[in-house]
Amino acid sequence: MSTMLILLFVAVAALLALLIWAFLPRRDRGDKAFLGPKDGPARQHATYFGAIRQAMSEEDFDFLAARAPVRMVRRAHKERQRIAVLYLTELRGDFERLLRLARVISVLSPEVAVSHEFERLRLSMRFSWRYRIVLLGLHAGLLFLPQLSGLNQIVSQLAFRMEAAMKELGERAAIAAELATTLNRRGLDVC
Amino acid sequence: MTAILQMALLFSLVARRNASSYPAFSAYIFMTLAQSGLLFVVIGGWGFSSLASWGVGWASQFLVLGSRALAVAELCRHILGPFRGVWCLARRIFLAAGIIVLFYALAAAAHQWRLALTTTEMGLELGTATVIVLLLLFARYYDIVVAPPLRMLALGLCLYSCFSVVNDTILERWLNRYAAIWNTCGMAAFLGCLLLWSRAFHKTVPQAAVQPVLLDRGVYLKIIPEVNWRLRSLDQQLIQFWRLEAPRA
Repeated sequence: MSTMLILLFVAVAALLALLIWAFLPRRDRGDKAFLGPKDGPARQHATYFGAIRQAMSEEDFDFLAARAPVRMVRRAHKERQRIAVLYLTELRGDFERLLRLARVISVLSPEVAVSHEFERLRLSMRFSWRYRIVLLGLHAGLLFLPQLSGLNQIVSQLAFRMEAAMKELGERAAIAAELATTLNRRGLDVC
Repeated sequence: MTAILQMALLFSLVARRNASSYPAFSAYIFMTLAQSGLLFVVIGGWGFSSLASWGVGWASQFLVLGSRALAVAELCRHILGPFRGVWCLARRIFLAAGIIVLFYALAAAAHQWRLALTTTEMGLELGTATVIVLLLLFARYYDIVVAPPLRMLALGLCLYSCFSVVNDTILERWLNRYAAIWNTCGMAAFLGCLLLWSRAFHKTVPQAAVQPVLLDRGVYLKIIPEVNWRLRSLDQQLIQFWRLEAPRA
């Protein structure tokens, strides 16, 4: 069988796999309250990064290792890991909520910018990939603080973008209301 | 068997008033039924291997494929149509993806000119399947709920297209040995899809209850240059963000 025919079969298999995936329910759909208070300042978990970084510092760990018994050092290491995983999970929650908010805005807009949509898609894929790598590193007992920092930057960046988008939407709505009022006023004048 | 199911489905579409909501899909089912009848008459009159049967067979097949493409377009409009911005974006992507995949399939199998028609059909089927998968991915990405009848309709159309690609590819490669099985497999797959579509349209499919309220187009056109400028400046800031070095632990 020629290579091109194999590629055709691979294309069909990939399409079927994507079809199955498209029919699977989304994991984050259950969280109905994504527009609630949790969505306020979207960087709420990201702001704790400084404290997390302090708790994970190599110097602190070395200090503990030099003075405390091995059992306590192990326990501290496990706790640090647990905290990092929890923080990472919450960070992802923030990211997901922001993405969903962005989707709602896109869906309700009469026109969408292709570049903007693709950029968000790229960003979410990159976040997802990084998230998995960092989580894997944490579970393997390695602490990748630079990567955590990278994730933190992505969240902050997206939060900034969302604030700008919300501001723009607010301005548009205000202008629409103003235009409507002007038109009504003119109608009344004519009558 | 398939003819009976086709008639039953067509009758159900008309009786349950789904034909007015899904005219392209109803036309597609009608076309497949008409093709079966026409081929039955032509093959009965001139024989299976005659030039007339070959010509009528392929001409009707491309008409059926065209009507299926319209049914897919109708499906896309039903799912994404209410959301104007996303729909405009999706239309361009679907069209581009469909054309790219069609040419890919033609390039992948354009080694035998005697099978050019089968290859073109295969390309069209692959393009159709790609568009449907993209449609469902779009709906998933934007959290757009797809009603169960539309899901079944999409599933049937996509599975049939995927099956047709595989069936046609095998036929191209092992023409003599596979010709007898090819027809039976194709009919079985179509029968399965007809059952799925009959289940989807066994009662009147409700229309979208509420149209989403969008911002006024004039307002958008007035403000968009400024928004684009802001987006560009934000993008510049994003690039600067990406260039930041991660702090050392």
